[in-house]
Amino acid sequence: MRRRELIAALLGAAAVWPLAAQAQQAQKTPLVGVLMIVAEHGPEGQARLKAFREGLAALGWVEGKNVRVEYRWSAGDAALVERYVSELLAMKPDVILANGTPVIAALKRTTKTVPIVGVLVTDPVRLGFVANLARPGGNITGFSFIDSDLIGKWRQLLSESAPDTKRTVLLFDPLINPQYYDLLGDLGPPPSGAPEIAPTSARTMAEVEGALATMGRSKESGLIIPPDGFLVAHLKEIAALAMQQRLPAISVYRQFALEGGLLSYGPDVADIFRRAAAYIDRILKGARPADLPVQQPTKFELVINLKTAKALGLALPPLLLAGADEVIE
Amino acid sequence: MRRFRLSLFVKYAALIVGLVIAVLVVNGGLDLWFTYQDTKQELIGLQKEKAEAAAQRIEEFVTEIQQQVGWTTFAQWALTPIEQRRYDYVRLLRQVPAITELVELDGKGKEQLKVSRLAMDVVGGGADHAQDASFTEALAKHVYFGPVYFRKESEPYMTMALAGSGRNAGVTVAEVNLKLIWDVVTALKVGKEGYAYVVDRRGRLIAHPDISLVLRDTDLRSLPQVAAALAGSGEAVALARNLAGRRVLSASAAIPDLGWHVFVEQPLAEAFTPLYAAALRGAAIVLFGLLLAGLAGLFLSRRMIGPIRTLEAGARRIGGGELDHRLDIKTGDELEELAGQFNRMTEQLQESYAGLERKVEERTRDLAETLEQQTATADVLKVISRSTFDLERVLDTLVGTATRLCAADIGIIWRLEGDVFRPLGTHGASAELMHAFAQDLPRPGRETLASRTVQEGRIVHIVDVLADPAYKYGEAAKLGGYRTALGVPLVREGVPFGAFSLARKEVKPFTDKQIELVATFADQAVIAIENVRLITETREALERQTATAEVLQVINTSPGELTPVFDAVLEKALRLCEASFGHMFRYDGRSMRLAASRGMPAEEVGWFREWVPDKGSAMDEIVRGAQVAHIADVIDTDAYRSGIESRVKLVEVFGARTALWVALRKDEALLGVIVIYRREVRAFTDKQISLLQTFADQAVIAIENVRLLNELRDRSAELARSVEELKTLGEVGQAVSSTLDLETVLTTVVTRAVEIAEADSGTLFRYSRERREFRLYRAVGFDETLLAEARAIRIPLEHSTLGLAATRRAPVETTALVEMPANAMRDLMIKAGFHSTVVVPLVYGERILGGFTLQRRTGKAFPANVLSLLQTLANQSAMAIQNARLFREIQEQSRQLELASQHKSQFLANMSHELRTPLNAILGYTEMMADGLYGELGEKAKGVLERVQANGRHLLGLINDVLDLSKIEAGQLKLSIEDYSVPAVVQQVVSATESLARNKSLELTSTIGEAMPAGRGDERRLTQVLLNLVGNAIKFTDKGSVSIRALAANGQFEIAVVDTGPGIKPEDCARIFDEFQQVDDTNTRKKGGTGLGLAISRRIVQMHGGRIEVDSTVGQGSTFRVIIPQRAEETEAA
Repeated sequence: MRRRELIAALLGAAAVWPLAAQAQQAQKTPLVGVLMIVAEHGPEGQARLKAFREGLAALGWVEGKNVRVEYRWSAGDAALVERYVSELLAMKPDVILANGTPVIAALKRTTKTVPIVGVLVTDPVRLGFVANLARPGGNITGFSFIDSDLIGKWRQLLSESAPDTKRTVLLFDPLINPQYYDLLGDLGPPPSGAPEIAPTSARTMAEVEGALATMGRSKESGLIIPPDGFLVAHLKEIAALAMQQRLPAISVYRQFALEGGLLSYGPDVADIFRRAAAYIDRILKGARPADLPVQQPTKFELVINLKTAKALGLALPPLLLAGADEVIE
Repeated sequence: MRRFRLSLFVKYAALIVGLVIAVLVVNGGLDLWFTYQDTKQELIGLQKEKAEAAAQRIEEFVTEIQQQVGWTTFAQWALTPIEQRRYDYVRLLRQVPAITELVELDGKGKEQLKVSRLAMDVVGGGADHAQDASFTEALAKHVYFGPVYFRKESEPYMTMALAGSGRNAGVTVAEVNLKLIWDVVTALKVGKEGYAYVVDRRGRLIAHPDISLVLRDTDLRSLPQVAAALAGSGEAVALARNLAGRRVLSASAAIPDLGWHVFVEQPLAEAFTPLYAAALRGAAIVLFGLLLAGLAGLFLSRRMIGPIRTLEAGARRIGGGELDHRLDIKTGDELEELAGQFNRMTEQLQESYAGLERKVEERTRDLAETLEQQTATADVLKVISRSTFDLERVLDTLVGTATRLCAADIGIIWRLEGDVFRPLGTHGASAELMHAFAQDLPRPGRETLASRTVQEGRIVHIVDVLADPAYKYGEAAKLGGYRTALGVPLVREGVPFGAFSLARKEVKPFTDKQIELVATFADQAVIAIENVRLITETREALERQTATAEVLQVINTSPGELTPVFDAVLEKALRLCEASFGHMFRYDGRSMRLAASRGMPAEEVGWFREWVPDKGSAMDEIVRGAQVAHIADVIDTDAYRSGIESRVKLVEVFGARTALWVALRKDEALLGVIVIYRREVRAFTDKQISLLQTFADQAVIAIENVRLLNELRDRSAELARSVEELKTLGEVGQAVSSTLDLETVLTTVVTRAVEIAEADSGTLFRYSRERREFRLYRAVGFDETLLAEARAIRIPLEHSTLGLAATRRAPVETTALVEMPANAMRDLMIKAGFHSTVVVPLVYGERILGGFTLQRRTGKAFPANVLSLLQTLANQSAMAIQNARLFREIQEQSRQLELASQHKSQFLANMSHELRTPLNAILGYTEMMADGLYGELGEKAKGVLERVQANGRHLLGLINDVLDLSKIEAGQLKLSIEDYSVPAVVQQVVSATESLARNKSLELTSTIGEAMPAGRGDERRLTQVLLNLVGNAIKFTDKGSVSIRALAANGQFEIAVVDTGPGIKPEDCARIFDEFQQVDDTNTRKKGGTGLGLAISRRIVQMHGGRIEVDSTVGQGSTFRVIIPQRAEETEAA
């Protein structure tokens, strides 16, 4: 009997051996922190989440299986950003996806070591997030969002769709995003015939209402909604207020035009979030943020809400419509 | 033997293994070589294909763009209007996402039009590009592809320029984003670690999965595979090293238009993984051969040494004790002979073992017998412990077991009871024998075995009872047929009280061992009998205690009621004292009255309802002071002989014989008696008498309880009456001070006055100064018609009781209305049937306001205390009327003031908001500058920036204050109530102001009381208040200290801020909490501030339901105190 057992054991060992050699050593599941400037519930937040998850899935990362992801949504609230930054850092994540300039600013103040992929960052070099775009040099890399030229583009699109516009108002939170002054400085004075751009504080809906009411009285004003944590949380209300005051308005957020704003023009945010997943992938596989260049947006989308145009009594020129990626009728 | 097996195995195994391995190794080696060659060719082919596919995609990408841009180069296009051309460019951008910017240059290289995705479009910009390569090269070669460059340092771009056709044609320049090429390269997968990259015609890397390599402008000409591809020699280098120095399998494809090359490479280690697997398989086959050869060797050696192992195993089994084992070897040689000898030796061993076993068996039998006795004894003990209360069963078991173990026939346990012996347990005795014993129970003496055993107090052994001359129970012995008898005494505390006896029906003496056994059983019987006795006594004691406790419980559960207590006492007394019936009497100093009766039909009780003690009777003895009277037989008493019917009935009808009386006494005073009867002549034991006394004591307690309770009830009722009066006064007072609703106040006053004075009706009159007359205002206790009539009557000041009281300013009272000054009201009252009245004037200062009256239908006077109460009520009413008038005036004024104030607040709120917008921007900006986000600042600039920040913050503080205050005033500020900790608030304030104090060399201390409870309120606002107070203290104090003291008491927190500053003049103390007020002197002007802080603080504290106080001595310092409820809920906005 012993003889048979011996043979069985030897054959069994021979069969199992290659398998054992192939089996990889079990590793700790990596943790990705995600801190969003937008709110979780709402089309903008969901669109970003979806794109990011698609990006991860395309690279073979399955949440809860080979990667853990902790999401935090600050809805433009500076206090929440601070709180979530410390919460996420306490979990010791392998990398943090940081959406929004104030979020990256908060992380920059708090950690010098945890790798950070910034998404939709404005002016990262001037704000000191990276040493230069090609070689960030520190623990932060990512994807930039808008530059000063794009503000000029918005003004151009606004005055082409509403030729009467004499003055445009750029809403933003001066306490959190004062860099808009820099961008406007870079843009320089308006070319002759182009409307001026007036930066205006919008830290609460009351302020927005006040600003829009003042504009509504002047009749020749246009509204610009740039990237801003507070504004993106209130796009629908702002679109409604602009309609109420009969103001032509443009935003960087596609959602704005979908929710009843006149125009939106800006980088394809979903595309950027998909690309961000690729950076997360590379960092999880050992790349250093210092070596990953900050990428610029490549896809831009122009969305025109013809319903709104009609309601405002605007006849949009064919030139504008020819460039539109989406027209809402 | 072992050496033999080993060498044989080695011989056979070596041969087989050697052969197998040689064949396998040769075969495997050849196979591996061919596989290597095939795999390499296949992989290179595959990589080449992938490289070509990628190259094709890139080429298509560029060609597509070239074609799309191409149609703007037609001669006619340049002639279309500029707007049309711009439109076309926009369309082009829309169709080709990779183009970021399009520029149209005219024939001289001047910019005509620029359309961009990223920036504003420019029409007629006119910039000169005549010298640019894109212009000159495009004109020369029609198409120009520029070198790859990086926009914004990191975006790969290429300039593509196309010259127009026709004379003096212009050029269209497109900036093409090449990230798509990156995507193509990154997406290309070869195995797990393979990758692709692209180099341009100068060998520079332009696309690679590692973007940083590209951005670093890496030159790859040093790599042999790149050099070969650039040289275009057609001889590709397949095996090479990559940049990292790893050996790779490389293949490439060219993009001729652009001069680029696409490379696809895969590390050798990964590419040849299948080869390694084949090698592994070969090794596995060699191993398997080795295994087979080894097994063959093993088998052969096993065949040879089989019989020897059988012999060895058999010897081991016999040695181990298996003597019936026989060896079975049929080899027909020396081995078989050896096995035979083994078998014979084993047989001899087996025989000698059999003798030994027999002896062991005998010994075992002896042991078993002893064991049986011990087991039986243990069984008996078990029975005893299981059935402690069943004495008979225990004794039967004992005597039965003893009989069986001692081989006796009859066993009886006897106990001496009085002067006879009674059998307690028997075994084996016939019924006739026991009957005979019962007829003539043994008595002490030497005549029987039991009595003799007890008398001698030791074991008695009669070998033959018939031969014993003293033994007198020969008849019984004959009947039972026993001869030899054994008796063992049962002894308690050295005194024998019974016997354990055994008898045999033949003459055969008991052995010493048996006698000893019986003695043990006798001891067990004594223990069992004793146990039962103790348990019975304990149970009785328990029963008595339970009864007493039950009576006490009845006393507790029915306070104020005696009957249930008496019933319970009697019932228990009858049961425990074994009496048949009994009575409980209460003594009123003369006779006994029946309070309870038990054990006698209810309809017969009437006979004993009252019992006058007869002289010399037992009851009389009790009345004279005896505690107990006990009569053995009432037939022998004078009372029975006296012939009084109730006494006679007691004996003749109810059968009373023995009787016991116990007195119920409280401090010598006789409260009653309890008596119980037996219907037989049997004296009560001492225990029973003392028990009845206990019950009597309990009855006394119950009687006392009831008395005290009744007293308490009377007192409470009296108290309640006084409280009611006080409450009325309080209620009215409260109504007057808490409500300004005059009607409620006056109605309360009249209603309560009627209730207190126990009047039938009450009225309230108001006085009109103009008409000098009173009119009815309120009435209580009037019906509809009376009310209507009374309302119609005007009572003049003169000639009326009301007028009289008003002029005297004192109540007027009468019990005969008819005697009062005649007027319509008086007549109406008389008609309504009222007789007495009291009239109380309502006067405030010199002013007559009215009066109220109370009426009674009886002619009973109102007592003096009611009159003074009514006067108080009148004063309160007068005050209420006056308050109401003042309140109306104030209300009107406040409404106007509030309106004005709201306008002001709204204005302030709007204005401060307008101010805050730009100020926030200034602060945000300077903050970022100070943080160095815009580059390092010089020392000077930093200083200036700090001043800008400080002043900006001050200004923001001012605006916030104004906004806060205006919000409070406009009623817009709401507290957010939550739990907070006072120590935390204080700590927060201390850390915020520490540096301020340090700068002025002031000592800043905080003292917090022990055990501060958690507070409830708006923590942020309260911190603001404390911060303001501490900030002020530091600001105004130049030397000394500022201290914060917090403590909790009476449900409030008191937080004091004490400083050693200049102090505040008493006349200023009141003003400082008003808006825009500061103590006005040169000193404060120097210190600055808005003068709003204290006003806001006061409002916030008030909103918490608290207050803020200041206490100051000029020249010594000030103390500001905040006193707030520990748990504030939001009160009306202040």
